Amino acid sequence: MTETILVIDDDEAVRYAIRRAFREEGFAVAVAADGNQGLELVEAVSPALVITDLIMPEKEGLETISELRKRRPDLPIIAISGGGRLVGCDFLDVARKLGANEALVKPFEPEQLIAAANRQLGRITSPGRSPSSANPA
Amino acid sequence: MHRETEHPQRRARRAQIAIVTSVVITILVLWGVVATSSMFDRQSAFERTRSNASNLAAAFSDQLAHTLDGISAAMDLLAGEFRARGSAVDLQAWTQGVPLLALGTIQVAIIGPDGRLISTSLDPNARGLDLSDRAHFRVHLDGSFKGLYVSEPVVGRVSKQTTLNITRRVDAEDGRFLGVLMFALPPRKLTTLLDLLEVGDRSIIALEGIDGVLRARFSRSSPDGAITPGLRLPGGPRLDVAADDSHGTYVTTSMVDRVTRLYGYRRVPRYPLVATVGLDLDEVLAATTRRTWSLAALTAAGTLLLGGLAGLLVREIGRRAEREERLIYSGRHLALAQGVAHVGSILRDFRTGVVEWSDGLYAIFGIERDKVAPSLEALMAFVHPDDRAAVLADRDAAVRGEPQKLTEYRIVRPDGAVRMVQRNQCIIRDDEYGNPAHLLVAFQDVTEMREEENKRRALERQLHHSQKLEALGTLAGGIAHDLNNTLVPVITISKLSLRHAKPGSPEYEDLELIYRAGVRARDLVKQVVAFSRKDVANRRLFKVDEVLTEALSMLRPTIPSMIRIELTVGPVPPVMGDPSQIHQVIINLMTNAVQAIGLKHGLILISLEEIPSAKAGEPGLIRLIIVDTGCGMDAETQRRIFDPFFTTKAVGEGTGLGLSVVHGIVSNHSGSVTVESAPGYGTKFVVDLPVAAVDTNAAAVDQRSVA
Repeated sequence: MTETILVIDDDEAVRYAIRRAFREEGFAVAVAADGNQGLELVEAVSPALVITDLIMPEKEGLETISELRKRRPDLPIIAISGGGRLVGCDFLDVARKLGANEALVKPFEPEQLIAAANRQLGRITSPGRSPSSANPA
Repeated sequence: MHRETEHPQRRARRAQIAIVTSVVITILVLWGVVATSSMFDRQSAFERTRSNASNLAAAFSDQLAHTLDGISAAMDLLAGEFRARGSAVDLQAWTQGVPLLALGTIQVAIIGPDGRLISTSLDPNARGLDLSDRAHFRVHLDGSFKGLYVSEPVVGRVSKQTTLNITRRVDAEDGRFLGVLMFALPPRKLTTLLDLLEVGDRSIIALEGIDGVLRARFSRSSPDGAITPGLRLPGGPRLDVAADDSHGTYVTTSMVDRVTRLYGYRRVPRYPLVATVGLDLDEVLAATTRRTWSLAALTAAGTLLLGGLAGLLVREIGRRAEREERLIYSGRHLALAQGVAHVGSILRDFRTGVVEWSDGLYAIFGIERDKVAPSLEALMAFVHPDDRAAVLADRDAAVRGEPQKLTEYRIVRPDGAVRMVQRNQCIIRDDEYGNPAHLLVAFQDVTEMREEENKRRALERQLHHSQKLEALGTLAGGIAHDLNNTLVPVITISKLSLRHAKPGSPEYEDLELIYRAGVRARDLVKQVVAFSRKDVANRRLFKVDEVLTEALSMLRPTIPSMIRIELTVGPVPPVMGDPSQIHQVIINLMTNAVQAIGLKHGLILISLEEIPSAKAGEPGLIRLIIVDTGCGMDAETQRRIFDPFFTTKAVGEGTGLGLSVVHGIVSNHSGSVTVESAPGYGTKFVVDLPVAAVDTNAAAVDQRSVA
């Protein structure tokens, strides 16, 4: 069965790039432009993994993560961010604390993202890192 | 100025009291002398008067005795005649042969034993006139009265004049009472002396019987000597006039005319009479009183003058003390004000050449007042040698009357401390021609002020710099987020597309170019973010030497082989901070050094050591030094080297952020980074980081060379 990955990002080009990377790996990809759409799609498509941006219009990524965690405590979440608009605040740290299993800084190499997704889905593709060690929260 | 031991006003008060006391004493002594002298004057005038009265009484007494002796001799003759001729005696005839008038006698009479007039020299028809009631007859009746009797003044029944009747008894040889001889004299005749005497109007000459009854009393107001019969002189009769030479003086006030007189008296020898001279004491003492009054007036004038002078003196002393006090007060005020304001001054008197330095100036020079005497030479000794010419030039300009400008000089204190003083001066012209009289030079110690100003400027620069950096940081943070998003498809899609492209094909080359450009852009954004980060996100204890080793091993493959690296690492304690940021610092500084050397042979020296704190118990520093033998840089470049986006490299070769990131990270670690460089001589960066306040274990110095 093809696993579905839900990508939530307000930047269409980012959504496109991530979708393409995962399609080449054989995943099904659903995309949402903000947190509200994303939460609806979680109900609709039951994704195996959620990849969400943090700074978005309408519904913030951090809010989305905490809501997702309430609804689906077992759903793996990877937070991605281009860094804070405000100096001195690491959103990725906060995302981890709110329940994101892993966090990645944009821009990443496609391989880094795929490896992280595989880790969260329990597919060991790159040796060394275990999911637990990357998830201090 | 501060050494007076006593308050001027207290001192003045004492002087005023002394003056008032001595003036009062002087006035009292003066009045005492006046009183004493008046008293003595009065006393001596009194004594003189007493002596005069006494002498006059003696003279009067002598004259009376002389007159009565003459009358007594005449009576002796008459008595013989009377005895011989009895009642047939013809007195008118007899008186022709005797110079009775020389004796002043106006009538000679003989009274028979029965009291009837036997004969008188005046009126032959008066014979038989009864005179038996007269006292001057009756006194001789019993024969107990011997000698001459002088009657009270009576109006003669024959002469019809007031006369003193001098009588004596004549006895027959068998003792039978024959009669009484009588010589009548106007009282005036007894006192011719009065005319010769310079006695006052109210002085008197009196003739008393030893019975105390007045016989005659003369004065200029009653020259005939007439008196009321039976009158007695006040104070008389004397009890001590029994003796023939009795005499004395006394003072008494007349009940009649209320005049106080000094009386001199003397018993007329051989006769029952007392000669008395009464001198008007008031008149005698009037001169003394006048002298006393004029002396008193003079003394009163002197008292007023002295009192006035003393008053003026006391007031002047008070005013002077007040002025002196004000002067002292304003002197203190000036000294205090100068001290508080760090001001000192020099006052030079052009006419006398006297130079005065204020306490404040000594304080600025850091010396005691008694150590240095004010002079131009002494002043110049304190002026920094390089500034002496300027001081002299300013002084000359002031003397020439040129407008003054504020100038600053350096003063060197005896302990070597250099003070910055601001000098201002003015010429004081105080005569009518406007010639310079004084030169006032004021010095203000502005050392602290200048230091504060410099500190403030540095702070302002620093603040300005950090504000600039913060603004840039905020901007950079915003741009970074958007750029990072934008770079996601660039990197991801180019990388994914490369998988499908045929290596070596133009598409492959293009995709690789895009990918590399994306990676470079990503690195640039990373730098910007690193620069803009103000916090140290992952603070922990770490050892800089370990980070240094890691960074160097990472860099090593990228460093050209012509560049040799020499590393000296001492034992260093851990620091608190973010090791990945310090890693970034090392990478950036090394990149900078490699680029400065370029594609040439060169050397990079790296040292890491601990600099212990100068104060015991305080943590020291860890010092990282990176020296390159590259092209170096000028001062202007050094000044701007830590500014963001400042770069000496061509557009596209450098971001201009590397060193500003270094500066930002080091600052966030409470450290400092400095640069020393000169064009052509390479560059030295020194990074100091504070040691974490924990004990550390030492490690051996590890010197090795990394090719």
